[in-house]
Amino acid sequence: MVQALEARVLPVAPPVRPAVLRLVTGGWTAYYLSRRVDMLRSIHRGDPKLFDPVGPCRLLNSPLPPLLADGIIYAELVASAAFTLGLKHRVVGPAHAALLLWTMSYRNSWSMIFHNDNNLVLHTAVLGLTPTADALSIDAIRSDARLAPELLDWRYGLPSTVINAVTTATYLVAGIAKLKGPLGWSWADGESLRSQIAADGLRKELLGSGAAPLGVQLYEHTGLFRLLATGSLALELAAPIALLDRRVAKAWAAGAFGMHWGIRALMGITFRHQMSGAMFASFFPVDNLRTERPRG
Amino acid sequence: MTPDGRDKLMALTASAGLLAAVLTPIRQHGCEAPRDGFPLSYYPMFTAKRRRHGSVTYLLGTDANGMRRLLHYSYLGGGGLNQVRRQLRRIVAEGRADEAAAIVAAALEATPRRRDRYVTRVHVVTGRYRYGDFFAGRRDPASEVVHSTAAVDKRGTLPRSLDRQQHDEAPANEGMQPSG
Repeated sequence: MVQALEARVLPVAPPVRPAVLRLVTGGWTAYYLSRRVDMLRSIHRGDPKLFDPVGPCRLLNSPLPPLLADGIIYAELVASAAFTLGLKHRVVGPAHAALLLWTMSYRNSWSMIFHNDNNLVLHTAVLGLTPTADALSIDAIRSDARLAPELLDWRYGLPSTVINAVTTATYLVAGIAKLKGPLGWSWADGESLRSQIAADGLRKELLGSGAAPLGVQLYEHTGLFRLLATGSLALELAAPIALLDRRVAKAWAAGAFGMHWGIRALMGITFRHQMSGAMFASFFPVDNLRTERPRG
Repeated sequence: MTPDGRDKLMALTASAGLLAAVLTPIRQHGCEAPRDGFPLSYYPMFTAKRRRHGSVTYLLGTDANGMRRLLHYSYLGGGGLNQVRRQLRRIVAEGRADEAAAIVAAALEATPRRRDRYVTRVHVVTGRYRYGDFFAGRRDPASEVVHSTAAVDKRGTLPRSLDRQQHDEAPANEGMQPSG
């Protein structure tokens, strides 16, 4: 029984498995940040009175000088590229994880916390602190001239297991928040979701970006919102079940992926990491399990 | 214990610690004044009890003829609509609406969008709307409070042809009330 549990929690895997996750997550991060440099630089020059630090930025009493904050972004861009390529991973992996944590925390320290980058930061921490560059990396080529060494080891199975657990835990926390909120289980009747979509659409209309047309068109269809609310709450509360079986995991990940695209269509809110699919890569077989020889 | 066993124990301990950290924000629900964090959050979004109406603080422009035009949030700052919306609400709550109006007026003067080039005054307002009415096309606010107003310098005189066009485009939410 202990062996069965160990096989589930610490499954053996080839180094390609975490390496693919490193490539996907690191590549996504580099792309995502590079497209936001101007926006982040603008935020760094915002009203200091609106600075409300979160995460590690709570160490600060006031905002950093804008040029220093800009410099950290550029350092993180370099780190994310090196991380993706798998260069000097033992140093770059933790450095990239720390810089991304700082960069995204600083971005969220201006009176509004966005919830779409939490998993990106957490996944990167896992991938940065585990051996994810033993394949498909510059490090791998340098060490034994092979991109995909034929090894099997629990150390290569651990990252995806932990990432899956972290991902499902965040959805569970979001589901519990709805039940612990003022509405309790009645959140599932759809009226709150409908009002939330209306409130969000109203804000967008009045502040100049426009409400999502589909949300406006469907506003009167209360039954549809009941269905959507029930479905999304079930998806969040049942998230940990995805850890029990690979097929269930894939179905859950597909459902969560679809939910975020649905939110985009109904509310115009873009959860980029989730909608890219990169966040759910760990739920799918991302390696070829042909190798059988244990490490060492 | 073998070195491999020790490594496994360390890995499991670290993993359990991370998972516990992700779950810890659930405790915020027991707090009188819950505080959200990053990257460890209790995900309060979408949990509020909402009514069939709501209030929004936004930026409004008027031209020389008093015609209204909703102004884009980016005149006030960067970081996306929701961040600027939250910041604007906080600025008004701190009694600094005049500063916001002045920033927007300066931005309008420096780099106006084409559709806003005849705006002569900027207002920071809070409007209360009924969702059902709004999405049915009845866009008048149930009530509206003006927190501050700033003049935009160097505005051109409104041509008569554009005057007609702006009449057609302007939202029909008339009825601003002075701040109380």
